[in-house]
Amino acid sequence: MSGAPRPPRVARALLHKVLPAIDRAGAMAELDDKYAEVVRAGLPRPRLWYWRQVLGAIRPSVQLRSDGERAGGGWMSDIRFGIRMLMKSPATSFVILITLAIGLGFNGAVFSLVNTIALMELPFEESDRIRFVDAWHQTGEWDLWLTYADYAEIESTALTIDSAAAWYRSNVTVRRGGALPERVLSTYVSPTIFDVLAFQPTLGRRLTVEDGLPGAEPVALIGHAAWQTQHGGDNTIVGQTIHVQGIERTIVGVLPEDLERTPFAPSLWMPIPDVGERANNWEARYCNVIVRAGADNNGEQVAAELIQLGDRLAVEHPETHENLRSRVRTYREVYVDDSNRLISLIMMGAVVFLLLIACANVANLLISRILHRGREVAIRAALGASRWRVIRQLLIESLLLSFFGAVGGVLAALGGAKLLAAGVTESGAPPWFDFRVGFEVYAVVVGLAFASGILFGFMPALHAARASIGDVLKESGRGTAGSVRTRRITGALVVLQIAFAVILLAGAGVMTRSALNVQRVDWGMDTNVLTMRLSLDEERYPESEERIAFHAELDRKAQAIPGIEAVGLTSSFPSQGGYSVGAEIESLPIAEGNPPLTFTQVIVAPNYFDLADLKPLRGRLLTDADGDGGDVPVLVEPRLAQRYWPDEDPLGQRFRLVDDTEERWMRVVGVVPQVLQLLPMSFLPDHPVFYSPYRAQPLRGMGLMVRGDSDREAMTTALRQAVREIDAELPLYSIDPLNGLIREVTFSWQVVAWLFSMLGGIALFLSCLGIYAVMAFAIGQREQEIGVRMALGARSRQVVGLVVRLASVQAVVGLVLGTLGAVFFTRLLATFLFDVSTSDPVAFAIAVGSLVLTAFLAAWLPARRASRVDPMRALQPD
Amino acid sequence: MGRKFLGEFEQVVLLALARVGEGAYAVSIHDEILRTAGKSVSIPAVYVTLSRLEKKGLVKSHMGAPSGKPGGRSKRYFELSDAGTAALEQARQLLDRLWDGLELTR
Repeated sequence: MSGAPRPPRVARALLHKVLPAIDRAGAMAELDDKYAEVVRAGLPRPRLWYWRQVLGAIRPSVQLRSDGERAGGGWMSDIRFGIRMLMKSPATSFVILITLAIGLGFNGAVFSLVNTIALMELPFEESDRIRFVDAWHQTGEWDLWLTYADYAEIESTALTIDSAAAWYRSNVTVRRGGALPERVLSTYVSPTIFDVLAFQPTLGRRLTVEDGLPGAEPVALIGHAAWQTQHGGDNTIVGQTIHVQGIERTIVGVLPEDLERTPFAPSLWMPIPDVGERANNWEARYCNVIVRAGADNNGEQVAAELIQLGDRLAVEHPETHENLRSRVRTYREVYVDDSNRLISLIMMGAVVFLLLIACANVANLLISRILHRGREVAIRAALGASRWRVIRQLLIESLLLSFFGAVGGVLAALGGAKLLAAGVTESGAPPWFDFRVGFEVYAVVVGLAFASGILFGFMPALHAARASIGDVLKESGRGTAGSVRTRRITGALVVLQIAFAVILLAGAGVMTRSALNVQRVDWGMDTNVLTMRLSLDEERYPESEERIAFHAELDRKAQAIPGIEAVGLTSSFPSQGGYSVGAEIESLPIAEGNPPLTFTQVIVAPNYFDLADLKPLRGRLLTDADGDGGDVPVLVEPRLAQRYWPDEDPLGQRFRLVDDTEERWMRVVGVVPQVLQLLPMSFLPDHPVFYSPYRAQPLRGMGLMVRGDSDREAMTTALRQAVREIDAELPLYSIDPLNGLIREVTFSWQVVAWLFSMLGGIALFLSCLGIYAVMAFAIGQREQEIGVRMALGARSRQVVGLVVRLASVQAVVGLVLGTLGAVFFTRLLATFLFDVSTSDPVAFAIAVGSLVLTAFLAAWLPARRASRVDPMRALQPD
Repeated sequence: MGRKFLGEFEQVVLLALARVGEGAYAVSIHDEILRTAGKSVSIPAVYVTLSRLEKKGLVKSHMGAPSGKPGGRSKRYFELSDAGTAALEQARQLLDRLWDGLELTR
């Protein structure tokens, strides 16, 4: 270290820029020396001294540069002049900038969301070679998983692929050391998955074929997040053991962090067991299959081969594969569903409308500003400025606005994207939904900014350049400003704005009504209950009787807990769906080759109806004796009864589930009021619901609903205690209030509605500004005329009327066009509407009404001002 | 050239350069301004202005040999060009004519 004091860095960098290249090295060293002297001499504020030295050089250096550039055409001076002009009317400039920033910001934010969805990719090497394989039923509309045997066939015979892998998820109970047991979503995988996804474990080894053979030592790999949180990132984790479903497994590796951002549920990976047996089972469908295309094969070749292979299997195994066809899709095709795609397109359309409104504003403001400057432009032209020169000057000004607008837009987009990301995550997007604001977003914002700057700056510039010098310089000095042509352009822009605003507002209206309806929806029961799940594992509860006994015992203990009023056992909570099952009604046999009916099955214990407070509309409820043998007594909701037995008594009717190997009949013994298992949205299935008794199908995993007057904490603790008294190994998990689950289901509608309302509100605001600016300007132009009228005795009310009439023509045309556009636009939203017609009169009335009001206000304010003009002043020459 | 007025600071720099004479460089010109005018100006401003004057053809410059000291730098030396001398003359005449017969009263 020389010990020489260091001058301020920023100032030094500035100096570097300012100095002519030839003097740079010498001068900077000189000044460093001087600075050292100043410091040594102990003069006050040496840094300030240095800054003064640097700043002192800036003025002469600007002169120096402009000397050089003046000959080249004076871009610099045009820019400087442009900035001066913008600062001369700060209010207009500010409004233009804000308008641009809002329009661009919204576009950027929404584009980042759309972009995320469109570009979603797996974080693996050459992940575009990965394909997902499943099957679909040709006569019905269901998608099906593949069997392990299907997978084995693909793996061993397909030629266009490098490798294939099977995986399926399962909830398991895990115990680590002395910790409490926890429920973990785990994945059973074939060892080939490491080849298909092309990655290596962070620690330890891959799975091998031997790991899946009978008698092999039980092993597992754990996910990166689980490794970090549950094991503290312990580097010696490999070789340690955990208990999974009561079996001790050795951890042989840790999965990479990238895998967390995928749908492969990486918290725990285990080899698929007993593969020899599974390879001959053509019936059980539970496997997700992924393949990696061969290096020389494209996705279409892979799809063609695998579909052909599927068709061959359908012929070879008609009893299990009849009417099934294979389907081969990319990651995006699987995980971005159509409704996501549609809503992103609609939102993109909506923000583009907003940008158009903003641009119309900017164009109008620019036009009126240029007209104000008609004389200046004409004088320039008279002094010999070429038309190009004039256009260039004006274009530079609008590009300057674009530039600052882009800066504001990027900032607004970042803020908006953050809001959106929060909304999207909260609305229940899966954790692997990777929301980011990438480079593309900035590129789009900046690109849009300059495109709109050129497009909407060129028009007024061209217009101004065309204006005849003679007209402008005529003695009145009021020039051509109010020419028919100009009025037509500005009028058209206002019409456009109003039309787009109506479209956005109508969209916002129907979406908001829909969201309100969703919020007010009657779920059919008091939703103020706590939900939780528990799962009886296969090892310790192999027999149905044991599971039935467990739940009977738990029910008894739970009812005894003070503060708990009711407990209900159900396979699926309201709002969370249910089992979609194929069914055939005894009185309506299904013709050969036709798909079965689809019902939603909810498996419940009799106590469910107490908790939900459901009284039978017909027949009776379920009892503890139901489900033991013979026909299975079931309850149906009225919708099911009405749909299939409209003219008959539903009681005593029988149906059969097509997948039931025991071929038991289900007999309707009662009709209960509807409890919504799903929001009745048009894109969700609306299969009617029936309730069957737990005793007939004692599933391992069930849900518990609890109503009580004590708080959540207390009830949870008491219930945990009750469970532990029966089985100390069993965890209660997913403890959530039902209202919370419902909020998650309905949240995304609220986000979309909220977004639309915001867009609508901003559109309204921007149109208001636009109409106001145009009206104010038009009135300014006609000040003289107004003055004459008033001098001749016109009342101020008549003057206001004149102006408002002027505005109302544009408003009416805009409203009519907008309403027509809105009818088409809202039709696109139909899929997302809940209990609202696409052309909901209330929403349309509000949209049109608020615009009428806005337009009136925007015209009335400047009109009133005009009517107060002193006629003498208005008639004075400039 | 010459048709344009010299800026005030340009004039100050040119005059200081003329006063220093042979071997004038940025720092010595800066020091001369400080000494005679009692005005502290920014050193970089002197550099920049000298470059500007050179572009206008009013001064000429050449690089000197590096000084013998370790780490010594070579200096850029300046002198007035003929045009520069003429411009100063003109400026003076202009001012003289303007002042001629003028009496300013408060």
